Amino acid sequence: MKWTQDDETCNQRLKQLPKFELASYETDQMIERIQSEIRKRKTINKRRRFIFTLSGAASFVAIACLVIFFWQSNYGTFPFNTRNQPTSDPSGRITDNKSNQTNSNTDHDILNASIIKPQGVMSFHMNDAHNGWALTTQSILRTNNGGSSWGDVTPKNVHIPTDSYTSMRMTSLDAKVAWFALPEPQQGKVTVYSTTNGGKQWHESTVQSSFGNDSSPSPTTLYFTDAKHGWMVLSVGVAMGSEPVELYNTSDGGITWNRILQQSMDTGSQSNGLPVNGDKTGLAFIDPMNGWITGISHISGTWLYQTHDGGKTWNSESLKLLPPYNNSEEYADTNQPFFFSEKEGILPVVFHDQGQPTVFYHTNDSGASWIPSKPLVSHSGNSFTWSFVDSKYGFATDQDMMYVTTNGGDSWSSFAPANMKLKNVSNIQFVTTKTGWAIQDQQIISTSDGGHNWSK
Amino acid sequence: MDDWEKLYRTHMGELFQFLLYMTGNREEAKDLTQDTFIKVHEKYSQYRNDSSVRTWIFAIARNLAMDRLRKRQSTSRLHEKLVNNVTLHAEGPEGPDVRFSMNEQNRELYAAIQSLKVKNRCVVILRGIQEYSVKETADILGWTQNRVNVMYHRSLKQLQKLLSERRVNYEVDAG
Repeated sequence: MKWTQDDETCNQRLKQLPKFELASYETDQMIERIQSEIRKRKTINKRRRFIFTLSGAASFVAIACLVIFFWQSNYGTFPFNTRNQPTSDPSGRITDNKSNQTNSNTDHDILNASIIKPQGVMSFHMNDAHNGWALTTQSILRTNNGGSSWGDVTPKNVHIPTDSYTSMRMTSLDAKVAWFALPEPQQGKVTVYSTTNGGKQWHESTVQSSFGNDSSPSPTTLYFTDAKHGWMVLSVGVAMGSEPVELYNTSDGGITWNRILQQSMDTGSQSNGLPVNGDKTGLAFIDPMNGWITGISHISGTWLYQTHDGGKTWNSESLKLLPPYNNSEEYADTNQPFFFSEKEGILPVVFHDQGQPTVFYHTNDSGASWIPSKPLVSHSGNSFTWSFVDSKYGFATDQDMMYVTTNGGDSWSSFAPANMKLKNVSNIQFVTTKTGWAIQDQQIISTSDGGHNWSK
Repeated sequence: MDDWEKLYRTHMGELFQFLLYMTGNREEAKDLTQDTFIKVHEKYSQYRNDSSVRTWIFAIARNLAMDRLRKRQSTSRLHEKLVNNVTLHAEGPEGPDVRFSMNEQNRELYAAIQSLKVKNRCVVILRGIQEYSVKETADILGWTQNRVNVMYHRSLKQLQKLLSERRVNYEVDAG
């Protein structure tokens, strides 16, 4: 990008904005308040520690007596195995703490009580040409007829706060099995709902961040390789040029979650090989042990980390950069990889240059090697959204043109849809070379001819 | 003057300016500046010297500002409306006072800055408004100098686009 006269004008206008400064008496007042608040907190903390120690000891004795009395009266002996009790231990393991929530909906009900044009759609995922799930600003929806109609399968008594819907995450395996994560701002926790019967019943698990009750952890990725094994990344604060995260996993389909990685918000420390620096963009696993975390690099090169032990430890992985993007001053965004089998997958990388050049790295050996495609460059300058039907056949759009590849992204043909503009289109998803969907202005649009014509 | 007070006095002004342009409200910026230093004091044992103190302080300030903006967003959508339609509502009783002292052209620019993504907004405030050098901005944001240059340039392009869109909308509304 060249520095133009318009850039310079804009630059000068910014410099002319008023510089607001503190008067010296304001500075003095603020310092006095800071010092006073720190003194107050120190005193309160001392008192709290004393009261906590005293009441903790008393409570422990009282509770122990009650529990022993209860068990002895009812069962005669005291149980030593408490594995099945609801608990949250220091490693962040959170166990089943709420009963199932039942919706009376059946598949038949979903078709009958249908929503034809859902509004406020934030994301969706189609499992095949018929079945899919959508997340809106107010509800969880499911379709079994390719999106012609949708049924509301939101768990009963769940209210999605207006400031939470942008941070909700959903993923599904098929028409029956799905999960969604709902952050609870300022309460330091995220609730994960899971269903194995298409949303008729939801199981609720609470994941408590290590940052305490007043933090606002935000789920950035929810990923499952099968009905049992899944991972969730919680962003625990956005720092400048870095993003500390917590990583949780489950091996029972989301009933219990274990914290396997934890980073600090205020320091630049590394945790288990995964740096705090870099904004995390996605996570994917090919099996319970092997996976990747992708992100935006703040130094030269690409940001990609791989694990071989289920996410406990991570190693940096470098990608081969082709000219002109092998310039050491360039940097790039790696995006969540997607896999068609345990061996075959694609890792999209967007380079910071004119036209948002996007390179699709392919693997045929479970990520042991990644081979770059030629870059796809946008003429409109907008960033791409993409979807691959298999490792060869893929679609992309830059909100202006549709692009199609039949060779894994090495070459693309482009066309403009015949009946509508693609402005504000995101999240395209194709399940065949003809059938696809996308979000435009928070509504789902669909095509049945490979993107040439779209309908709302 | 103890070491803590020296630290406050060294960084308070620049932090306040930054937070004022992040939040748009003088009292809120003062509150956040104080909260930042209280948190710095509480968390100092966790500071590991792998970034400058200034970078660390600004990172804490930005997190606090983001939390505050999220809270504000959940309790009132009014601010968003004000930002998006600044010329009509800037004098409203709950309007951010930072704009009261601006002329029409600056208010329009300020509203466009508030529409930027947080990262872009940060680099515009530091590099554009506070006029820090590329090196200083990179130091505060924990970025490379190259990234500061690219992000700042991109942000200027976005600002120009936003300003021209607002102008077109205004002309359509007026016409």
